[in-house]
Amino acid sequence: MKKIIAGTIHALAVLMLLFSIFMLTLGTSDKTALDSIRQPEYITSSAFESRVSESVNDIFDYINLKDLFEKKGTLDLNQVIAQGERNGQPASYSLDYLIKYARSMGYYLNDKNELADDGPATLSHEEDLKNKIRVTYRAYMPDYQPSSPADGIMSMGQLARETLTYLAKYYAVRSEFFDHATNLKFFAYYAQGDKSVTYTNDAVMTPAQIADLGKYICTNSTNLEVRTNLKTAPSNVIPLLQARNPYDNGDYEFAVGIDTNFPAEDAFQEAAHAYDARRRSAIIGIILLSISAITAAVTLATLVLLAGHPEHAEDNRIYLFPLDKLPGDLVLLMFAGWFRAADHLTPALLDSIELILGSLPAWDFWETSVSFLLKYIIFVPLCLSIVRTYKADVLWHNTLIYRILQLVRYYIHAAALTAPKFWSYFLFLLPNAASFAMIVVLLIRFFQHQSLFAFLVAVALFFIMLAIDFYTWRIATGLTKAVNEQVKSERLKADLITNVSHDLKTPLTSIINYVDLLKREHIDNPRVQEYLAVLDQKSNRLKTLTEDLVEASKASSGNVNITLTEINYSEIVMQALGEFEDKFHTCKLEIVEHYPDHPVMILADGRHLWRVIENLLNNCCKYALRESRVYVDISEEDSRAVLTIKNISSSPLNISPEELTERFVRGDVSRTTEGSGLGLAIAKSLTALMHGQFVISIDGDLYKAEVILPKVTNKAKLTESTS
Amino acid sequence: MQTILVCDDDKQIVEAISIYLTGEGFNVLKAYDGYDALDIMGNNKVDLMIIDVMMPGLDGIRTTLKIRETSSIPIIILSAKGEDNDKILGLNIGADDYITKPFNPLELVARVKSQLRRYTQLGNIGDPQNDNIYTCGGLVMNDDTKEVTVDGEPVRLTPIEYNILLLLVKNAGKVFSIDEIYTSIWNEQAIGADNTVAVHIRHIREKIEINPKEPRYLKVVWGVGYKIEKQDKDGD
Repeated sequence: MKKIIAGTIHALAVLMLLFSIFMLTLGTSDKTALDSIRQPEYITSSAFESRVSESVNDIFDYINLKDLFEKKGTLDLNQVIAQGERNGQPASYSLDYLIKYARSMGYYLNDKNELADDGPATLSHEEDLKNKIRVTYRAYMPDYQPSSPADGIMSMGQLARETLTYLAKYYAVRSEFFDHATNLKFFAYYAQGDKSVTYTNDAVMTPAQIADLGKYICTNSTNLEVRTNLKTAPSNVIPLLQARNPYDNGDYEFAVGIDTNFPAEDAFQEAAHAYDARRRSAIIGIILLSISAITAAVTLATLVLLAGHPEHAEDNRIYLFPLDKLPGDLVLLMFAGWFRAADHLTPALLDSIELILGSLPAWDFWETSVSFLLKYIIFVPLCLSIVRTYKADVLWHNTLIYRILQLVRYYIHAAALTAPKFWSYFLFLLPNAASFAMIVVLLIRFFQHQSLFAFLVAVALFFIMLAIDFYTWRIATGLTKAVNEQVKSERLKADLITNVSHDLKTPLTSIINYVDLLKREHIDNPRVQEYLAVLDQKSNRLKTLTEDLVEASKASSGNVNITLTEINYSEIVMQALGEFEDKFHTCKLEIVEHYPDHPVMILADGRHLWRVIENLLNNCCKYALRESRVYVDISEEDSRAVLTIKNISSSPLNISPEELTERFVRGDVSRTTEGSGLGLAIAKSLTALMHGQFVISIDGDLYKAEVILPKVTNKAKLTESTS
Repeated sequence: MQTILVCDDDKQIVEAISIYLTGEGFNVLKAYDGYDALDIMGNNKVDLMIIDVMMPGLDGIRTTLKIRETSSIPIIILSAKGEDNDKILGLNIGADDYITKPFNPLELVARVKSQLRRYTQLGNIGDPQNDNIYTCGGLVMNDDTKEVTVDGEPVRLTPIEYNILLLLVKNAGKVFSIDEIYTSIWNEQAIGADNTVAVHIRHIREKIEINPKEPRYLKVVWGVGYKIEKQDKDGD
């Protein structure tokens, strides 16, 4: 739930961020949003000042054009505008004539007092070009002097057009200052002697009153400076004033004032309102921008922190989504692909939107923001996926690169099982490197010579190598798996033996102890005594059996520690016989021993060898015929020493020697005598573990056991004797 | 009366051991896991502890380690794990003896008594001043009186057995082969096959060891010879 809320807030914040950027960028003509915030009021802004400066220019245009086109306050259509020669004849053209001529060519003034040329025309441009004239005087260019006979040659249309341009300007200025109420008031006064002329758009106001308006520029001929409360006064006021002076060096007075309350509906009011609106939107935009940026950052951080964690705080596991199981580098690649696709997709998308909604303002903004959104929608889940895999600690293990490396490692590992490591690296890297080089060479050839054959060979080579690598990988993983399973099963076996032996021994301990405790009760009933004897005997037999069973499974599965040391074969046999002296005496068996007269050094584990000999001698006690002889011999072969124990069996041996060393097979088929039937099996396994050989042979009632073990080599002996 | 703490997760085994020990006149405390044992150790004066290895909760090995931080009482480990590695581990972490299950109750009682004697009596005896007294763990040989005691109990040995044991004790830790022992005891070269020495050794073991098959003092180095295990001074 927390995540859904955070995600929703984040999405909203990002949209708001885009919206605020939209607010800030839209309508910016020449200034940044920060600038408009910094300049708090329109009347102090540079936009205002440049508008004032334009208006001042317009005022002087008006002064100029008024004289040109007006007579007694109205437009004088009969005024001569231009003089010149036509076909060698002097000619003069009135305003009326020029306007008519221009109109016949399709020129007219539109409702904004701009010159337009798409009106109905009766005279084409080609025809007009034939009406060549040479102009020598134009009213709007009083200082013009033709300097050569070729100067001033133009068509009637061009002249009419020029005139109309000035007329358009005149109308525009008039409409600016006179046709509507304005916030700008001006007063220009020229005088010389008793002649004076005044230009103003508000005849009621005196220059002093004009200067009292919010913003003003005033000057007069006694002052060299311009008085103003603008930050920068238009620098061309005095030059223009003098240039427009009809009396050359006459006195003048000039005042411009702007009512900063903007009561009249004019361009100033409009600009002021636009400026204020713009400023408000800039401020709101900046606030929105900061709020949404902070919100987006905080929610993104929250999402990152929450990623992978479940709703319940006490559950510390990291949960992954199906997306997270994809290899990380693959996802990154897909993301890069999506980036490119988004760039291509956006214009197409916007085109189709335009088809539905009509043309969009601020195309650039829309393009940037749509492609940003498209990328961002994919970017956030991807980031969170990477964060989750990082938290789950599978970021690296999930990547394709890791898998490929793992593959190589598997291969090397499996190859190292059968060949030296160097060779396995060599065998893996060499063919791959060679084929890679070949493919590169072939591809270069393909690009240089457009050889299709080279390309096909390269592709074939690539697939062959891929197949070989795949199969080696299969073999490698198979081998590794097999080895691992082998190791695992060995360990399981060892564990099983330990556990089973523990589980068997614990109850057995109680049985033996309580049988013993019962015996100590000294119950007089002879039958109870008899039963107790059976219990005692059988529980002890169970004990031996358990111990033997554990030992046999350990020996046969190889779960024993073997420490091979140099020992004297004769010595251990003598020690063993010493241990069995009493037992043989009670069994009425006579031992006949024969040892070589020098020590017979063998490599064996003393304790395990003692167990082997003990089992053999125990068997003699159990199965040898009473009052017979047991022959114990040690003899030497080339590199081996042989212990031979021979005895006469008390019962007929009608089983094969091979069977005797099987587990649970015993010399007496009735199995009444004590013994587990594991002795020989254990002896055989232990001997094998010491790299020896255990041989049983039966010849009638003669039973012969041989324990053959490797002798210490002469070399080893020599080093020992010198040390 | 001496107090013995018996700790095993199998209640019947604890009960049986307690019957034997009570019969021998000991006061027995029972615990069924390592935490119980530590609890009882903290609240009672215990002279000896018998502890199982494989127990739920705190096992015998960790319990022994914990107890050894504060106490030096004899500890006998009683375990179904009979591997050499297990025994070596048990003795190394501070146990004084290691008995494998299934055990002979009489052997257990004998070992308990032996440990207690060494701990309470011999542990307090200062180093013998007499040069002719040889000790090895609980085994003490007085060459002046020709007396041999194990954990304070006198042992009767024949002259040959005594000489063999003395040779081994004097050179504790050194392995003697049958030939070497024969030469030094009988003062003549051994002539070929004879297992007399081996038989004598077994007899000595039967007299001085509680369990001759798992000797504490006189060890058989199979295929090499015999030796007396060199033991640290008492009380260490």
